[in-house]
Amino acid sequence: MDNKKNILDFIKPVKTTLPKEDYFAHLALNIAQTEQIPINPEKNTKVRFLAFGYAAAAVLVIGFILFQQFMPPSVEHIGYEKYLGELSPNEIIEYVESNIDEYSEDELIEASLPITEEEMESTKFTEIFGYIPDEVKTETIEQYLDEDFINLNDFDENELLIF
Amino acid sequence: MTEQDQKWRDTIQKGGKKAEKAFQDLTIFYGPKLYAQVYKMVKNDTSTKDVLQETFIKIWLNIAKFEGKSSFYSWLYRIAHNEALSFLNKEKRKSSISLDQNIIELIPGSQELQGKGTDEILFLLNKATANLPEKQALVFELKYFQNLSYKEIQEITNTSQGALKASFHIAKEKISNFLILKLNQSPLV
Repeated sequence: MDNKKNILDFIKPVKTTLPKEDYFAHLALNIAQTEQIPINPEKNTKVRFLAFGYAAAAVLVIGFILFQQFMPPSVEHIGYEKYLGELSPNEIIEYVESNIDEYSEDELIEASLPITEEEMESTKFTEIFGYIPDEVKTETIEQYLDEDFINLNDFDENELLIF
Repeated sequence: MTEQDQKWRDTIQKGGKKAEKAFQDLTIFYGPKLYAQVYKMVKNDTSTKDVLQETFIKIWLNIAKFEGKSSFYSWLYRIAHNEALSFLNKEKRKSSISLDQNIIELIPGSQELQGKGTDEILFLLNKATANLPEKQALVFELKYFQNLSYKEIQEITNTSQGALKASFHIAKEKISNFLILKLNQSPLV
């Protein structure tokens, strides 16, 4: 053998006769129509959980905003209320997103549940908006509503549901 | 992963008629390359088509999970290679495979190749290729056996031509050393 040459120079690959394009097109179509692509359950759960998390976060933020609106300005904020009052909704969403793993699934489900019909029919404000902290007295809220001539009966169901 | 590969994968993930069309385009593009790769291993048209069918079923069923961390063609190459090996393992228990056409020709002038048959050399070539790291094996397959230009390989593998040339050079050296070593041994192991 010529020392300058590589042994592979003495082996010549023969060009393979390939099937026509139709064969590949038919093969692909046949597979696509007969084989069902499995749904990735893990991915779906992740997506569902994420959507669920966002929904829960939205409910918490909207609830907080509503709470702020119904609070009389003269009432002094205490503890975490004061702290929350200084945060923007975006900051709260950001917090929820980054800490969502700390919430159990049950807590998220509970937080994102819509207001039930039973709750809607209740005459007591605090029963409808159950997330208002215990520190806020019912009388304080009712007083605020009376002073501003706000009657819950003036709102239709859709308007209340917005909150 | 090339832009085109990504488009195909994303369209297939969404399902429907567009997914079927994307899969057809992908198969028409990569099918011939994989056919040549598999044919070299299983050595006849019918068997190659059987292997190719299994290969493309796996591609269709798993493409949504492909994250694009490696080259798309590397992924296809690996599936086809594994399917061909699995086929050969099954066939060993049945009968020997008939050869449709020559895959290599031996050119006179090499002392080591004198008196050797093409089947024997092809067996050694396949064995040597299988021992290479995947990227080198892939480049060797496309450059040596399929005679693609570096530009074409670059488009498929998304690797620079310089890196491809280096990979091919190293692969060629390793394979020729392996061949010389094995051909000088008797009998072949």
